[in-house]
Amino acid sequence: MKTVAEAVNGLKTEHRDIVLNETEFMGEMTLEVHKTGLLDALAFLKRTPEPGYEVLMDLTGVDYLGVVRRTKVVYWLHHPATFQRLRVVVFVAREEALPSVTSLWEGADWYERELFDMFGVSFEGHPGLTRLLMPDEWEGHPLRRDYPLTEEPVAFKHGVTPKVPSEIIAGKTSQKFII
Amino acid sequence: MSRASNDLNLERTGEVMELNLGPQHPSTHGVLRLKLRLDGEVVLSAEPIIGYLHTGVEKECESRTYLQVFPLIDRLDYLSGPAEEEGFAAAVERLMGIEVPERAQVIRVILLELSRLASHLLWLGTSALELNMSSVYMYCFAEREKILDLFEEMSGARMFPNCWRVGGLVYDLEEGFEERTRKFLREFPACWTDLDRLLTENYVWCERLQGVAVIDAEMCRQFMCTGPVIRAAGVPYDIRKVYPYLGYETYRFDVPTQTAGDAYARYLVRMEEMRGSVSLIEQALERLKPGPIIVDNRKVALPPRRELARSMEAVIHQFKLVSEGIRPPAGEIYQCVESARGELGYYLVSDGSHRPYRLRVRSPSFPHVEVLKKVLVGLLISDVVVAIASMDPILGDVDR
Repeated sequence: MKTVAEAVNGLKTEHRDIVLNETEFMGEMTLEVHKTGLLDALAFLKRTPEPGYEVLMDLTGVDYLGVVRRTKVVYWLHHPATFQRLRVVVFVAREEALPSVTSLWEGADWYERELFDMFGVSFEGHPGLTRLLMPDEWEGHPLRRDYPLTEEPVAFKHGVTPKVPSEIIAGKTSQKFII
Repeated sequence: MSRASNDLNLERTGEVMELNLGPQHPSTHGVLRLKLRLDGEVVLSAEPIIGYLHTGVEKECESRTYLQVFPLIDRLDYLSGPAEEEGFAAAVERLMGIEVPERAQVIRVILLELSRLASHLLWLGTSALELNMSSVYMYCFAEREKILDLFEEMSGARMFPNCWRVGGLVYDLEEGFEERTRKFLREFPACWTDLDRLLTENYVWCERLQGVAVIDAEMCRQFMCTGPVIRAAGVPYDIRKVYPYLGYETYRFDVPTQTAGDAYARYLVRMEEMRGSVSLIEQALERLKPGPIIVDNRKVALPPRRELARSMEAVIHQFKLVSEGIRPPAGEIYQCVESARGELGYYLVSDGSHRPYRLRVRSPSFPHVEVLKKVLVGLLISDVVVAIASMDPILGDVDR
């Protein structure tokens, strides 16, 4: 399976209905899978010598606010011999958990901790899911789309305190100034 | 591991001491905290703790226009500012389908290789300083000052040129830049030979570095290590060869590799890369031809100042570009460049608006710090310093 398309076809023949969606944009193929099929899909793609996407170059997330707020977890796979790359994505809602890929790649440990820290995505089977970048006692997950950029109220004269962004988002009762 | 238990008669009492190599430490190459559990001098386990330099750049970039992102991201890997800017600019250019003019490409290559040279010089200087070889530190920093002078001449800033724009560069080279660069390139090989003679066959340097923190190709695959780490393990993976950008496929250069995978191998790889950078800059200077330095598309690049006095369209373009900026099409792409530390990747998700929806920086030092928890086990505490130095982490990149 020398090309990405062949690897994707191999995945679809090996595991039926595992690929929910496949898109190609600017030469990069993205496969969407369901979280129940995630480990199977990644284990298949990682298998040597074929298809051989042995390196997980990046593991990150993108948050979307829609009817349901969910995070898209992105696995960016790399083939060390043909240098082809393939993206596998899985959508996870707020209270859901994903299986951890630390059984496949030891180095995914910190990437999953960062996802937990920044997006609040939990991983089952992770050796120690704690915050990585934020302080341990921090509440909230900063890279979520509904987490505001800054929370410090600006101190104006004469006791005027505008609302902080989280109050505006939560829709607290209004006051005279909208900042 | 073999050194600790076999060669040296170390007293092992079995009593475990927890030592915090705290975030504020001259030898941790930044604000890296290591929780070491030691039995005498041997490390039983090491837990790197990061986050002390976390500034929320990725969140911040979601609220900024594409022009405003440049000064933020080039301070991530603060020794390879040009590489960071190039990665982001290349990602946006690829998304928008913009072709950078040739002169801008050549100047970008010159700046990238100069910054690689400066970064490796700083790495060598600080690594040697940690082993108490402070004269090496002085020699490296004296050479680095000349590179920083060249950057300052080009753009006004020593470390962060901030002259990349989507579509080209904002400043052209000054009159004497080429001569001064050639002068630097004439003098640098003598300094390189000095450093080579001081260190490569140096008994103390070899004893401290050989056999320390061996990372083989399998561990590199498990831990996503790239850059000099994987090249010292024998894998010739260099983004400039594998996914060429800025015309690197037309330049002649080799990818230095070693097989031992220890700290000494990484040192040799970086020394060879310094020589490779000198050759690349010379080749780039040969190719410099007069021409535009930014693409001519008024929807992407600011019009030249003299047009603003004559043309209303130019004023409108200027206004739209400064206030709102460019609008790439919706989509997501990944673009990588070879920074001094390894594969620096930008995963840019655009929703068609004038701000990035999500900008993810795949930093090369993040897995290199993570692999420390595996590789420091069994080393002596004095090797811990050498191991961290050989990984060359930059905490700004790790923490973002």
